[in-house]
Amino acid sequence: MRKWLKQAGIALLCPVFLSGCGTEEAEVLTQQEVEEIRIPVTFRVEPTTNVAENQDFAENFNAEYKGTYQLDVEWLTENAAGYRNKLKQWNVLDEMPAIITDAGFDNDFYELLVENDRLVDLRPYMEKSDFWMDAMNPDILADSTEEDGSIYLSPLGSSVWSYAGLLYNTDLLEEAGYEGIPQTWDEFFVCLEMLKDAGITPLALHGSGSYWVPMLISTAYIYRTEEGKAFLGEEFPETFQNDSMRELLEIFQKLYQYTFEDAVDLEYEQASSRFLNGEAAIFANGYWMFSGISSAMREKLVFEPFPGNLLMNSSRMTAWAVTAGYDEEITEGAVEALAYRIQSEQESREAALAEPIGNRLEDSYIEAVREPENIMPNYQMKWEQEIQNEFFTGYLPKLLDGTLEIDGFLELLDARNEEIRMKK
Amino acid sequence: MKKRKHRKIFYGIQRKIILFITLLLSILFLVTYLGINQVVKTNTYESLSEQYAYLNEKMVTAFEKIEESVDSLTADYILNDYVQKSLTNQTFTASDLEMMKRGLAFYSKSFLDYYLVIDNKGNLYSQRNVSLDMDTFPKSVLYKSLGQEYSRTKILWTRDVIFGTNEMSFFAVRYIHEMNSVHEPGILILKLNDSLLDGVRESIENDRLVYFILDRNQEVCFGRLPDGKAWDPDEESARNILWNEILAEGEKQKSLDQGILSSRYDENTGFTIITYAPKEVANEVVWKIQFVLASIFLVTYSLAVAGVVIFARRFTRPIKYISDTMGSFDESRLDYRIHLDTNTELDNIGLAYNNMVDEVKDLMEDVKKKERELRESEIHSLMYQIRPHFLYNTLDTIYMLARIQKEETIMRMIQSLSRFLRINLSNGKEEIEVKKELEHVSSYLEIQKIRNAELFTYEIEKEEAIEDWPVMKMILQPLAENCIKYGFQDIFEGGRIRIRAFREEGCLCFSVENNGEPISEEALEKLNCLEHISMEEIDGAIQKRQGGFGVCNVVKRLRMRYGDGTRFYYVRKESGTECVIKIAEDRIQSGREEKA
Repeated sequence: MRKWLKQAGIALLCPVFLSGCGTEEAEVLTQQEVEEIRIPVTFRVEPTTNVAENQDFAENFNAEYKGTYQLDVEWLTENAAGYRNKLKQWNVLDEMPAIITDAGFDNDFYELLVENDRLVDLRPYMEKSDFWMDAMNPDILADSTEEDGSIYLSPLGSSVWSYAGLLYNTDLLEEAGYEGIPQTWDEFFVCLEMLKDAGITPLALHGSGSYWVPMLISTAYIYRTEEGKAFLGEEFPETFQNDSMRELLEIFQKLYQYTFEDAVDLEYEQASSRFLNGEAAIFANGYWMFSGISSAMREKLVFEPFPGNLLMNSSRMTAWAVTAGYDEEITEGAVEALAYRIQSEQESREAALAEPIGNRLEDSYIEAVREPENIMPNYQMKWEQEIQNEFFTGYLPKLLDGTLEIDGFLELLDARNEEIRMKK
Repeated sequence: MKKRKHRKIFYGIQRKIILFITLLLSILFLVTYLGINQVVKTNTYESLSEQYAYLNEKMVTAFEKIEESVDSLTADYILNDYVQKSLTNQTFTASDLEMMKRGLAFYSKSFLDYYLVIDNKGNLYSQRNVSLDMDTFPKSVLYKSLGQEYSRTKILWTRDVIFGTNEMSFFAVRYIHEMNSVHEPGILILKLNDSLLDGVRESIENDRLVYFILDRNQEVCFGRLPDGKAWDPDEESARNILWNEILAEGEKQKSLDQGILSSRYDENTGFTIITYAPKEVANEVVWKIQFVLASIFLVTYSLAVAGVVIFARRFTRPIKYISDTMGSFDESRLDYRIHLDTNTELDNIGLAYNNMVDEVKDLMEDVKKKERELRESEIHSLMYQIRPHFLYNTLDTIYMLARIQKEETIMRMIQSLSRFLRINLSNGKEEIEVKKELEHVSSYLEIQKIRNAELFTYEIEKEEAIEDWPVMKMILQPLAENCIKYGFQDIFEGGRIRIRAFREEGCLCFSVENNGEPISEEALEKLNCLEHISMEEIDGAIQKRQGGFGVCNVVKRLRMRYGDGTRFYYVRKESGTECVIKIAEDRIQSGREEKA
């Protein structure tokens, strides 16, 4: 019996040993997967053309920084004004992406962002970078630097890619019998007349928004005079009731005689689309719209300064910024993307200036901006956004259809301007 | 006593087998149970942990949706044109106020009770008549919960002292910033009702678990006990579950016996969503498995015991039969025999028993016979003790008469007969000294010599060293008688008998040799086989009438006395026959020691 007890004891001990064998798997994953840091960013898709802005940039950056950083792009189908309005909403809802474009368009909004520490000071990063500071044009850098030395905006390093001027469809000009490109405003209007006489819509204008294209031509027109220069140089003018503004509105009205009959009802994108379809001969805009132009059309178009060899440029138009509130690693990735943008622009600029790009439109642009003679500021940076986006949309159609005279328009404009100033 | 009781319990093959099977199955079950139980518990814990973590994640997801809904609602309030306008420096007219109210009423949600917009000038806008002390408001929980963040929706669980209900309620608070330019922010406060958690309630799948949502101060915002019972902070059992089982144990819980806790702290809101399976629920699966195991064990055990009983009965029936037969064995059952045909070793046991009983029977008969003989012998001995005196006195009287009449031959004969008889009886002793035995045979031969005139002469030789050794009496006289009777049957004179007693090769040897007719080959063979056959066969080996009685008597008595330590054989010679008796000295020595 004692033998049995021994055997039973051994049998009873078995589970003790077995329990050791049956313990849970102690396999520990030691391989640390380094996850790519995803940087939230929202870029625009032009609603009418369906062209995705900065798509090449995002793809190139993601390819370059694969495994480290990835731009997590949310594509927003919205026009530029809509995007800027969204920015404001995102800000008050604390939902801004890590990188924002058009950060310097609205000075008030920019100040709001700076005041509330909503943007990241880029200076420490720029100084740490071995190329960033050098790649920046000193004037542009100075324009982006705050009084305390902080730098919140990151415009392109040079102005080469941010000029605006006129685009001519030379086929249509030839069809109208106009030879060459108008160099003066008189020649410009002659050209418009000839085109009109030839049954060709001379200008592709639009309504709504900030009336960008007609306002761009109109501001260029008044910039030829010293008063006009002074007026356009003013930051948020207290009053618009001056001769330059009257002249601007007169020429504004005149331009609509040379455009589509339904131009006031068109969005910018529709006007642009018609121009690129060859339905109008002349359009005003900058280099940034080239990405949406087909290669065939690029051979038909040339870029020229406004009459009087005038180009429009405002470095802040190209400014991007990094928003605060994200984790440090995301912020660093966002800053890296901005640096990459500067570096890419520098390389493409140097390449473009060294030899022709290869298509007629871009080569003409490079020639036009190589040594710019006269540069006017962007009115969008100088005037209240509410005036541009709301007042113009509400009252310019009335000015154009004659229900509102220029003086009356200017009175209303000043009243709104005062109202806006009061709000602040 | 204990051992005896223990032995009694374990008595019987059937019982032993059952006990063995019980012990074996118990060990097997215990080993299986411990092994399986450990594995099952570990796996069940992991599996249930994942399962309950999934359920908790569903609750978390539902709660996150609530957060999104509330966030979306606060966004609507913030982006409202009139709310935005209230933050600017513009005059906020009565018309603006009306438009604001209409606009904000449009954002109605089932989970929203009241809203309060506090602009950056301290003006209050609400559908309720709210009075708020703006001096003390910055010290309130609601204000502090806004924190340093720019504009995040904060959901909190606190007592309503703003809208007058004085109940613990969910609130959503958020800074309202003006969109276009720099202004001081306003504050949005939304009082939310219990419908807020409808999504969470719907996400609950398992009614047997415990669910809690705690705020950062561990206040219960939502509690649900098993079977849908609502959380009641005044109920002790409910408090025990929360404080002792969940909050006190917390992350220490690592086994089913402590219940399974899944919890997720939401950093955005500071709420902790908890799903807790009490040990009763967590162990349910294990208990079911344990029940199945126990059932399997019981069924297996029952079947095994039943099988053992059936088999053991079959197997032990003949054993029991043998046992009963052997147990009831006594003198009266000597003729009873075991009859088995199991085709197993038990049949041999039965046969062996039967043989044993035969042997016992023979032995008992022998014993009885010997007892009878002993009794008769004792009677004879007693008789001899009476008769010899009379006989000896008579022989002495005859001897005196013969002496008076000078009858020398009669005198010698009477003297020899008297000596013969005295030694023959020896007071009933079985053994006498070698010299007495030789004297006894000498007396006999002396009488025979007188009777047969010149028929033979005799001589007796002995070694002095052995003359006092004890030896069974009357072993030489029958041999000497056969010498006269058969050896000298064909002669009338010249016969010679030589008797010797000597030591040789560790034996006491006697030789009785005659010079008469040599023994026939047939008789020689028969006589010499006597020492090799059984006692029973000795009597039948030789015809007693032909002198075999005396020889058989001698051989049997020698073997009975000395066992296999004796030899008895005849040697046929050219002129005569020699009979040799050898008795191992050690047998004689043991006899001497016994005597001493």
